[in-house]
Amino acid sequence: MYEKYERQMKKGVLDMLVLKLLGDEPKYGYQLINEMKEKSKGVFVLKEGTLYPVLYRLEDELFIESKWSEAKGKQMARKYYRVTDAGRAALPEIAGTWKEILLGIAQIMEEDL
Amino acid sequence: MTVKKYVNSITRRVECSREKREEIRQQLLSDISAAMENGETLECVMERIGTVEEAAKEFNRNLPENERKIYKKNRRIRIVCESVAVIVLLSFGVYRMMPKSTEIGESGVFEKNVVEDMAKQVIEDLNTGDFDALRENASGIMREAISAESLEEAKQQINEGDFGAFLSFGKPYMVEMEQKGELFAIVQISASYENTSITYTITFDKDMKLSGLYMK
Repeated sequence: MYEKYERQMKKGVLDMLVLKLLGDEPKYGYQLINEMKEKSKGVFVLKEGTLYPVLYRLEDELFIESKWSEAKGKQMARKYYRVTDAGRAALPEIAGTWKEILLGIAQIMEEDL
Repeated sequence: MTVKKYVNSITRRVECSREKREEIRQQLLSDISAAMENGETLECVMERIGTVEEAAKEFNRNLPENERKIYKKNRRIRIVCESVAVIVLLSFGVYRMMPKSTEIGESGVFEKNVVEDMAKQVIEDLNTGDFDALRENASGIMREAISAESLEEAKQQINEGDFGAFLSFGKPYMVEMEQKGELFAIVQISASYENTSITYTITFDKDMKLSGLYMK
């Protein structure tokens, strides 16, 4: 019943989380899905239909860029994403906004938590 | 179901531009391949990503609005183009079925003099009652229709069959006609008799076989 609310709340932070995960090294879609699931301890279990649009959006905003790797024998080429300088600069600001929102939420919800 | 079929079925249902659809298709194929190299079976992958409809719905929910707009615009254009193509094909079909007439001899199949002579021969065979000759020079269907009885019945419709002696032929009017890909020569010629005048419309196929006979 509350799946819609869960989806909406998570949707708001996905861009930030993907930027964070791409900070270390370039990754492809399946890698990001696995890492997001592991590091969030199962809170963020994304499907490709959710992740890909996030990646396309971040790429349109020039926060990340993509590159196809070469196919290696039987292994298909992979589409790797890496964060750009603009993305790296934007992340702290986005994270700061997120913390402010979190604080505001906590202050409203404190009584009922 | 194979990976390709699964991915193609998903992307076919995603409402986006052609370029974005191809991008998603390539990326899905690659990531599913990576998942399977990591030990996931195709069944596990499909369970994780969802059914074709669920997966497409997920994409459609999350892709930006402008992709959907492009998809709708392209779909409108495609529908219009397909409708025009259907109309053109139907029109061509109708045009092909409609008889088209040209001057006799234009196709190079029929010779004016030969057609005229053959038409006059048909009438002369009718006049003399030489139905065997008529049948011999008739096409398959006509051959079955020609008989003394059927022709006598036709003659009875005009002046109760009492034509009198044959006097002369009038000027023939001849055309070639194409219908359903078949070529015919059509002759309209009047014949004067003692008691009446008959206009014959005689049709020959490309082999100069009698394939139609009408009199009034």
